[in-house]
This record gives sequence, structure tokens and C-alpha cells, in this order.
Amino acid sequence: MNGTVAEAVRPPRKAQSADFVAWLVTTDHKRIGVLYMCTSFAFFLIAGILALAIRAQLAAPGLSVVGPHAFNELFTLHGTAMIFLFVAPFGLGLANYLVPLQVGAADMAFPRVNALSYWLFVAGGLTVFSGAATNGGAADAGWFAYAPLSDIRNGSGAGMDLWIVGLLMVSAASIMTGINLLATSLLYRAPGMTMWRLPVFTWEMIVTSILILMAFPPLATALAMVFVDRRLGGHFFDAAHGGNPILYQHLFWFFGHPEVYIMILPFFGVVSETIPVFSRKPVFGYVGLVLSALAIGGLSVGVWAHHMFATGAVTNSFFSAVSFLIAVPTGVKFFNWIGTMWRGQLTFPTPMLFSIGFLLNFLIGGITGVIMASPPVDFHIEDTYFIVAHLHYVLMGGSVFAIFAAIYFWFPKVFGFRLGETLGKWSFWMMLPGFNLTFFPMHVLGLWGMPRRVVTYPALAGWAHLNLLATAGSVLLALGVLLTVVNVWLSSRRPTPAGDDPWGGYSLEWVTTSPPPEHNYEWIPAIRSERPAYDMRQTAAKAP
Amino acid sequence: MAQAAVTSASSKTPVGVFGMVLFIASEMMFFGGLFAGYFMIRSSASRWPPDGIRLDLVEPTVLTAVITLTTVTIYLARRALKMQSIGAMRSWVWTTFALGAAFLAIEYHEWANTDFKISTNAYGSLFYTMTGFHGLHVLIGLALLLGLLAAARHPGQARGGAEAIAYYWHFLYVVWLGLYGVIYLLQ
Repeated sequence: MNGTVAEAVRPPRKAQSADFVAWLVTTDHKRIGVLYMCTSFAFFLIAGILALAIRAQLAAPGLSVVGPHAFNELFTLHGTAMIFLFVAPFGLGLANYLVPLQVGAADMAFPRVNALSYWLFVAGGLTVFSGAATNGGAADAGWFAYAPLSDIRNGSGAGMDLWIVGLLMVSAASIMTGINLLATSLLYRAPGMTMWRLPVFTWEMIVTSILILMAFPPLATALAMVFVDRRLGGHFFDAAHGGNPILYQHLFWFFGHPEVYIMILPFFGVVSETIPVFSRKPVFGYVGLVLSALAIGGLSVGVWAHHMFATGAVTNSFFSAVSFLIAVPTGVKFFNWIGTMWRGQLTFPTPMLFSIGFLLNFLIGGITGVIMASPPVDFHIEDTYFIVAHLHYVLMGGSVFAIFAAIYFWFPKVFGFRLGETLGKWSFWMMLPGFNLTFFPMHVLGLWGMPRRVVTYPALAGWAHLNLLATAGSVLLALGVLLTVVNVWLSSRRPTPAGDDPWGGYSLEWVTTSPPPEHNYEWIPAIRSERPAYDMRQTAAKAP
Repeated sequence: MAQAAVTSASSKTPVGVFGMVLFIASEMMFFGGLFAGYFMIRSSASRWPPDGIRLDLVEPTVLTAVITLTTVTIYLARRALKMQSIGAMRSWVWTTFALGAAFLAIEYHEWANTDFKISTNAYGSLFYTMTGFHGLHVLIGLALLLGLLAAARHPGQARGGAEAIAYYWHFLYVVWLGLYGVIYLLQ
């Protein structure tokens, strides 16, 4: 993936090695954005292969495709890669590319810090995976690595330590990118680009960046404490020596729940950009969209203990109430998106299809989220496949579908040529049913009591058919993803030039050339609304 | 309309200072996590500090005095830079550096003479992790001061850097006041 995409923008053959070095030492936000997105997509492909191994093991009762220990490593690395190395960093990579363009800046506020963020992210990801090469194997305590399970008595291998160190690097990278995005969008706006004319994507990234600054440091605290417990003989989470294991859950979920919004808000931003363009209408309720993002950001730091209802150590009624409340601003956003499409001149190219897929899947994920916010229900489905179904509807059916929308929508801007529509549509029409076949049965399995993170299950439980269905769906989903990869490869072999603005876009990045020059803009049009590219076309059409 | 896009709309605040303020905010969340851990573990303990642990107040009070002085000297360094007197600025930065190094030396001496370790119990883990991370940040602050001295050859460029580093030192001070109050005074 990485190589294919990078090749497409390279001049053929000549001076390729010099160009390669230029990519390695670049501080250009566009190149860093492309590197970020390609690297995180590579982690996505790896995580997908791990997921297929998990589905193969669970296809039928009593299989032993992988052993129990390997199974623990599989779901730990799959979750870690998807959350820390793909969905969140892909959003940051996209923002790296788009935010300076959308606000009319020449680069990020701190270009060298930006390069450092990217390389720290790569190093962190590789460090996490390098655990697989150690004697004890990779980390195996799940992506949230609850403290007694992640301590030295339950796993003395270096894999867990490498996981901790790798995630600390990824945290530092995220924090630096958050600072960079805030400084860029607040201080480097072009003349006329007021806060209320910022594209919705940039607004969502502002809220995301604030959440990063609030959430990732407590994660670093928790990871540092686990490391002290593991390697320096500490007792933070050891009740026998005065420690408190629940403390880890508090610190982790104080990060973990805002992290959920760090992984979804950028993609709310993506569909808020694509849906208006393909409805030929301005976004419906711009102010409402922005305010609901701020409300989600505010509420998201007050819901962490809804992951801890079953501990009995938190005030369930408070955290339940705040969790329900989040459905309100999220509902406002759905209203905005549907209102935008209402009576629009809808067209359905691939990015619009993926955006609508996002709406459908995320709606189901959002509704199951509201169901789980009720503690009595949560007691029943805690740690079952219902949770697995819910989180995949939000993150895979939601965020990842929006990532594919973003890839198809901005690819022509980034590389100057389009991705094939036919393969794109095939990819979508395989991924949508594939995704739903994989994860919808898991709701039922969860309600029937199938626990998550079990290596196998007995034939008598009656879970076999739905598990086989989920495995079949996962193969279809994987083939759909593969089609997009093939699409990138085929399209880059015979590039059809896209022009500067293939979709009739609204935000500022569609004004400049595709790909944009190194300093982004030779000139910037007058900015009078949140749709400067649209305004410019209207003015040009009126001119004699 | 050839507006090169490098323009900064509201350039009253140097962007480096803005970035430092955001960085300090995230650092506050990091230390906030440590303090939250402290209070949570303390609230579930029957005796605090645990039996046999009593912290001496003399050295931490000296540490408080030393780090208070650094906030004054770093302020004077900034003022000297504003008034273009590079020599005075250099000597105030070196004074801050010396006080910061003295802080670390005294803190190390205190660590070496306490009768519990990081592995003794949860109290020990909290004590060394919290003061240790603060000490680590002081060490980074010392490195920043050396960087500032190197940059002082170009006073125009050093202005924003000096302001950002001064913010950082005040952040170290605030965290230390929290540690002094919570760990030592509220025993």
C-alpha cells in the first residue's frame, strides 16, 4: 500500500533515491499526512489479517487453528492496532493533510514537531508489534490491559513491556499532533477565515485535539504506573500492598472513553464534508453541527465509568445519565446529515456510498450504545459478544466506512488522479453486507451469553451457526477491502487526471491544484462563507 | 490577491508560547492522573502514611524555597532579554540552571535517606513516582535552559523561546507546590 501510493506521486525512475530521502526527511504537512495515512492503513491490513485468524478459530466449535495463548495475542494486537495504530492515527493523518489546506495555511504551525510525531508513531507501532518476536510472545492482556492481568505475575514476558513503551510513544505522538492542529487552526487561518467559516471537518479536529490533550496524558499515567509495578516492584494496583486495582480502570477509561470520540469525531467531519457536496446543498445546520461536536466533547469526559458498571465501585446512576445524554448531540448530527440530503440533488459516487454506509452502521452502533448505557442491561451483556458487536458497528461500520469515504473523496486532491468508480462500488457493495453479516449475528450471540475473548466454545451451546455466518461475512468484508487496495494499484498504473476539483467541492482545498504546490496556495480567494470554493465558482459564473 | 498563506491571523501571541501552553495543559493532565491515583489509594488506606513512614519536613521546605527562587530568576532573565541586555540574561539563566541543579541534588539526597523504597508498598510507589516524574521534568527544564543559552546569540529569535521556557518553569513550580502540599504537609 505504502509503496504503491508513494510511487504514484514520484517522477518515474529518475532521481528516485533522492526523492525517497526527501520523503524520509520531509516536514511538509501534505507528505507527512500521506505517510501517516499509508502507514496506518498498513497497520489496518495487518490487524485485518489477525481478525481473519480470530474468525477462522471461531468458525466452528472446538477448533484449534491457533492455541489459547496465541489467541490472546491475536485479539490484543488486533484491538491495539485498530484503535491506536489505524483509526485514530488515520484521522490525525487526514487532518495533517487537510487542516492547513482548509484554513488556508502554508503548513502546520510546528512542521518539525509534526515530522517527529509521525516517526514516533511509526516507532511506537513497531515497538508494540516487536513483542511478537520475544520469547514470551506479544502482549496478551487485551487492548485495555487491565492491571492485575497485565502485571508481572500474570505475564513476565517482555511483550507486555514493549506494548507499554510503544503506546507511550504513540501517546506522545498524538499529543504533539493535537497541539499542532490546535495551533494551526486557531493561529494560522487565512484572512477572512473566521472560526464560524471553518469547514466542519476542521471544527471536528479542533474538538478531537482538545480531547487528545485531555485523554492521552492520563493514559500515559496509567501505563507508567503499570510499568513501575512490573519492572520496579511497585504496588499501585496490588491490593495486598495497599494498592487499588480499580484505579487502573479509572485512569484507563478516563482516556478510553474520550478516545472513542477521538476515533469518531474526525469521521463525523468527513461525512459532513462529503454529504453536502453530493447533495448539492450547503450543510444543514452548520452551527448546530459545530455546537453538537463541542457538546459531545464536553460530555465525553464525564462518562468513563460506564465501562465499570459491573465493578460496583462507581456511581452507576450518574454515569448512566451522562451516557444517555450523549445521544442528544449525536442525534442532532444525524438530523443535520439527513436534513442536508433532504431535497438535495443527490448523486451516489463511491465516497457518497461509503458515507451513507457510515450513517446506517453508525446508527445501529449508536442505538446499541444507548441500550448499554443502562446499568441493568449492561450487567447482563457485560463482556459478551454484544459488546463486540456494538464497538465494531461504531468503529468498523462507522469510522472505517468513513475512512473509505475519505480515501475515495480526497484521493484525487492528494494524487491528482481518481480511483476507479467501478471497483470502488464493488468494494462498497462487498464491504457493507460483509460487515453486517460478520457483526450483526454477534448481537444475538452476546444476548445468548457467548463471552468475548474465549478461544473456543462447546458445540452444545448452539452458537455454531451464527459463528460460521460471522466468519463467512468476515471473508466477504476482507475481499471488499482488498478490492480498494487493488483499485489503488490499478488506478495508479493508468492514472486518469482528475483536475483540481472533480466533485464540485466546497471547502478551500478544492481551490488549489491537485496535488497542491509545496506551499499550498499561489493565491487565496475572498472567503465570505464556509464554502469559499463554491462562492468562487458562483462569482466566476456571474462575471462577464 | 497574492496572499501568501504564511500569515498568522491573530499573531499577538508567539505561536511557540501558544504551543507551550497547550503542552503544559496536557502535562497537567498527566500529573492530575498521578494526584488522582494518590487520593484514590489514600482514601482506601486505613493509616496514612502507612505504619513506620514519617517524612521529614526540612528538606522539602528547602526544595520549595529553591524552586521559588528559580521562578524569580527566570522572570529576571526574561526581563533582561526584553531590555536587550544579553549579558544579564545569560547570567540569570545560569543562576536558574544552578538553582535547578541544586534542587535535583537535594531531592536525590532526600531519596537516598528515606527508609522506604518504591517497592515497599503503594505509598512508596506513589512517593517515588510522583516526585520522580517531577524531578525528570526539572531535568528536562535544565536542558531547555541550555538550549536557550545557545539560542541567545540571536536575541530576536530567543524571545518566544525564553517566554515559553519561563512558562515551563512556572509549571514545574506549580506541580511542586502541589506535591509539597499533598505529600509532605497533609501527612
